[in-house]
Amino acid sequence: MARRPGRAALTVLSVALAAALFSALLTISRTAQVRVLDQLAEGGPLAGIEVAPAAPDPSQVDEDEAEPGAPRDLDDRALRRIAALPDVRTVVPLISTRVAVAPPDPIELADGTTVTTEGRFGRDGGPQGVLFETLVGADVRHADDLPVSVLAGRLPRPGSTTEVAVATTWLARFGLDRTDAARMLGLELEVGAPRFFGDGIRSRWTRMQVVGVVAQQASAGALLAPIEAVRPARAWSLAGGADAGFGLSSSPYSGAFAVARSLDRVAEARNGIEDVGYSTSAPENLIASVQRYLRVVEIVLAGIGLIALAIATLGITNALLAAVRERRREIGVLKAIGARDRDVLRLFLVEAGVLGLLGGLLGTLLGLSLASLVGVVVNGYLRSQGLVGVHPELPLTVAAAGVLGAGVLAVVAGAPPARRAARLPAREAVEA
Amino acid sequence: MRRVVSVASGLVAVATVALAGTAGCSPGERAAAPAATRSPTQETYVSVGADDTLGVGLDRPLIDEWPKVLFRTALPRTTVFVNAADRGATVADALADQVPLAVGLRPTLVTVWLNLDDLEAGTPVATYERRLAELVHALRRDGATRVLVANTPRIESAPPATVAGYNAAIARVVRAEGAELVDLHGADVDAPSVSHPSAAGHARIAQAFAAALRRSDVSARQYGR
Repeated sequence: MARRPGRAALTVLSVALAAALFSALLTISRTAQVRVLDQLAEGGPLAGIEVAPAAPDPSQVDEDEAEPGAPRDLDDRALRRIAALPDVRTVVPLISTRVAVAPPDPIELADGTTVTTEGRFGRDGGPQGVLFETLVGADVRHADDLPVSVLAGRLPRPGSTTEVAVATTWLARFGLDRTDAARMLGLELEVGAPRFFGDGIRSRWTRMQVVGVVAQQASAGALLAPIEAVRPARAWSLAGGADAGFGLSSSPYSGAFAVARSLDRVAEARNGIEDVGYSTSAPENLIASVQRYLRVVEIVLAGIGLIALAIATLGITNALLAAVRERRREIGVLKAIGARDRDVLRLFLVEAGVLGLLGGLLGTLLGLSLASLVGVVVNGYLRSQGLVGVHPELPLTVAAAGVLGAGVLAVVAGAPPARRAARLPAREAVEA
Repeated sequence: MRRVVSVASGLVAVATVALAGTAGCSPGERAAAPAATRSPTQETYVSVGADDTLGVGLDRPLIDEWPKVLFRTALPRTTVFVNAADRGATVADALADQVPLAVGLRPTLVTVWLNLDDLEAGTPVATYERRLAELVHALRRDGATRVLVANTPRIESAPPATVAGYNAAIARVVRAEGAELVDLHGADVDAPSVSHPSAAGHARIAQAFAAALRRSDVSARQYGR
């Protein structure tokens, strides 16, 4: 290799390009898989399960979107029983309550433009200049276990009573779409929980600042706040009598979001929760089907990459055959001074292995860089559409397999010329 | 050959470290939960009154009523606000309905504007003063609550002497109970006769209450902005 550095470099380059193709295809495939499954799980963990404050309907067993049965209070005791199930990793309680929201009109957004809610009340709107929305409370310390994706800003701080995140449905109230999400940040809202008194309604008002815009499917509602902020509001409304025209049930919690220990244990987790007595829903069947199809795509792309690698390693065979011809005298001298056939064999196999490993490693790095570059371009488009971006990643095991695979293929490709060199008679080689 | 292998081994080592650093990284789009915050002591503000405390007559009472304006502009963001006012409430009505609600909320600030309906009902000044003293005393909760009491604004339909009598009674009650006086009579607010204050009038009323709040040294420490 030292005698023909150019030939060695070209050989390494061909293996590197093939390895780059292999790793780039696998990275893109794996990233797309993660993104598609993430979308199916609506930003939450794949093994997420929605728990409703209702008994399970026997006719809806095994359905992804099971219709709940009769209402049933979901309280702390029930949550402890669910959390104790062997197949459940975490359970996050949810509280939701109806509120009146009094934004200032016209609304000054962060960039100085103004929008108004005039004429945008819709079906849930009302008089007196306020909108009616559902305020969802969750323990945001477990944000990673909830189907919530941040589009702009951040989630409210745990324990805060003055911070709120608005969902995409809130943007529609002002005629805005996802691309305008950041314009909502900093908006001051007055949020009032209504309570029925014999002679009318009185509201408990708090002021909250919009710190984030989210896409959330934890519970139906346009506003997301820490559970500590929502609990007293709901208690105020319920003190006027459950379902006093506000659509509230007497259940301490409006629902919960459980996460199974793995995707394979979602069915068992759902069965366990239903045995506790609550209806569940989870996209497990849909996710399983999509995973199967995506795995086929991954296998095909990996096959294409492996074919490219195999073709590249043929270059190693060609290079080593040429090297054997050029180094016949050297081989003869080695044998004349005592080198055995297997020593010569090992010499050429190591050369082949080094070329393969080097090419594999450089190519894997190059492939990951290419995939990252593609990710930057794709993210630019996705974010311009107000969508969540992607994060190209290649598992370490796959990267290592690519590198080692290139090395192994190179050794296999180098075996014929190495055997030829090993079998050269010493006298014949010296006289060449 | 040895030199080639050693160089290649070095490159392999460097590249492996680089690969391990990049492969498998996955910065999530889901933002990590921000650090928890300790909520400051919650302030609770309750308004006690009648029609003009409810913003009757306004297009957007839940936004433009003066207690809401006060809540929005003069109090900390952590404040919780409940408007306990009732339509047509006299002091006697408020004692029966609004005071139990307000006291139950353990407020740190209460505003009181109860005189127009007593005037209309012809409540004698002495009776009005006695009931008002009982109301303010209950709301003060032995000094735990800051109470702002508004006097009677200039009203064309009410005899000036009667208004003066009411305002003198209010001043006496405020002094005796350690409350704060909000001088609507001297302020330039829309005085209701047959109509209720406009949105601009409510804003001026809120300013009058805010000024009273600021005047108190204790209020400035609790609610200063």
